[in-house]
Amino acid sequence: MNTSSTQIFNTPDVLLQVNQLSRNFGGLAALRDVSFSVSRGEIVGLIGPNGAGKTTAFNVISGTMPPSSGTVIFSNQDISGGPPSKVVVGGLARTFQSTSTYPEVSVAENIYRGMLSRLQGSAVARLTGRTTGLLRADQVSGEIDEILNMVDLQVWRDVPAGSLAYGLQKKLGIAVALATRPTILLLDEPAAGLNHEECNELGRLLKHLQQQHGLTLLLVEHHMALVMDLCERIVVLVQGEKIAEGTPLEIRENPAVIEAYLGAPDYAHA
Amino acid sequence: MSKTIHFAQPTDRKRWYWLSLLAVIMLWPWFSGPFVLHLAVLTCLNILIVNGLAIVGRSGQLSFGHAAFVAVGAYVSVLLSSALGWNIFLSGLAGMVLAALFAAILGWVILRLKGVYFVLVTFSFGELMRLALLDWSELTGGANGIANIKPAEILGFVFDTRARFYGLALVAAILSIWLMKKLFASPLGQSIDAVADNPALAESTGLSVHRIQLVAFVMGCAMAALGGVLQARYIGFISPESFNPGLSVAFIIMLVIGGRKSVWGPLVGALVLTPLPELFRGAVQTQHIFYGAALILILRFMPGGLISLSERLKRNKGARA
Repeated sequence: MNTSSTQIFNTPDVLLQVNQLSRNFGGLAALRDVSFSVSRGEIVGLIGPNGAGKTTAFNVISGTMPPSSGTVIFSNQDISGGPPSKVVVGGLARTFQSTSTYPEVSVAENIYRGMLSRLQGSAVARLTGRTTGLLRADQVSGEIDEILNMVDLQVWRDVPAGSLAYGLQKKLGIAVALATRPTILLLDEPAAGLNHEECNELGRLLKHLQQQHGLTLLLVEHHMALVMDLCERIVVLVQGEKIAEGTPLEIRENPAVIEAYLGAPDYAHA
Repeated sequence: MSKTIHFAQPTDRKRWYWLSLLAVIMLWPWFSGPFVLHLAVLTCLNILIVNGLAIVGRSGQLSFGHAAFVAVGAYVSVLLSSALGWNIFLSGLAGMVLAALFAAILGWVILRLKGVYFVLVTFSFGELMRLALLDWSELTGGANGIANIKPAEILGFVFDTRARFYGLALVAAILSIWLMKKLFASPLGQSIDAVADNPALAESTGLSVHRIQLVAFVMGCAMAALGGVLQARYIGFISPESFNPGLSVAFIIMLVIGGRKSVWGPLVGALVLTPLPELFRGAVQTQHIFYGAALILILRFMPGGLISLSERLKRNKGARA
């Protein structure tokens, strides 16, 4: 059986396939037999109440921690267990829940650091074994400008990342991930801490990345209005298990989901 | 300071001002007495060794066993020269390669540790190395060490006087600074900084924290070994006690007081701290108190080290203009 992974796919445009993923912390099962898939060019939301295992799912998919059992198949390759530096070279990038930048260097340098593993002929590219999406030295500056344009941060180019406003730092986090030129981007609560206006802008940005740059997105998010508006498909986790999957409309009317969120405040107007 | 393509370079006139000042400092020992020459040689060797420690430090790890790698360089090169008659190039290279090999094996295992745990293991490694040298007396001469080491000889030119050796040490120090500048302007140097600044983010953008720290550790330790090779030829005597943990601490103090994050930090640290013990000869007991206090004060009020003073001045000037 050569590459069982290829046989899993029924449709050729499945980009990310999560198979019966479990992760235990001691006696606690943070994830139990979770399976779902993400197709090329899709925006998929991963939601659930606090402690549902969303971030654990993220960490396992991006290789930050190995699964207890199950597999993660990305572009026909088994990437379960990471390490993240290898997974990202294959085209799967992630952002972090809190802001995650290099605060002491400028916005442009943050993006430059994001593309270090792609520099052709550099020791770093050899260390990471990267062979795709390589950049020549004379392309670096143009690439930085292009990434800055994608997220609309050109004005802040030479400002130290640490002195940016919170919302802009979160945007820069996305830009640094984009600098690796991923095919799929995993966003861990991109809207957390953003105000209403910033949140709308984030929605437009993500839509733009999907439509103009062909990016596939998987996001964990608490902000229901954003998720319902943006995502084409939603996966609902409760206590480590998948309880529902479907379009925003289906999820909104799913009795199991309503029960899981019952009594919880209406996140839509948070 | 000129860390990447995006930083403004200092103006040419300012650069010449600094370079000529440095040139005067570099030439001065040749025109003064043997004591100054001696201190100048030690300073140059310390610059070399502390530069090695700075590479390790900038990857986000602090090595408390740096002296052990200096010892490997010194012992291996001296023993190969005396036993097999190898010249300083070959034996020195062998010392550096062996130190790099030690660093690679040790680093592969212990670079998974972070913070104080890494510090503790490197400290233990330093002690282990010292005790091994002490115990293996057939080869190393034990506590008596190895005396009457022949001076370095390169292409028939013998570096047997202080003035001559200073030239060699100066070239080594300048080369190591040039190497640091090249390294930290290159993608590899940038990754080393990135890995220290935010390991999780670096890893998530394809920079393997473990591999990059390992490369930095190997490079830094090989540089320390070169310092050991030269030091053994200059002093003419080595013993396990020449490489005690106190020396590792001294290197760390130089690095921190000079500045951990700047290419010029090790230079400033070595320049300020190498002559100090000589000035404090009358106060041998109290000098360590002074170092401890200086270290705490620098960490509290000037975490960028003495070199950060120049950046502060620049910023103030900019604010006034």
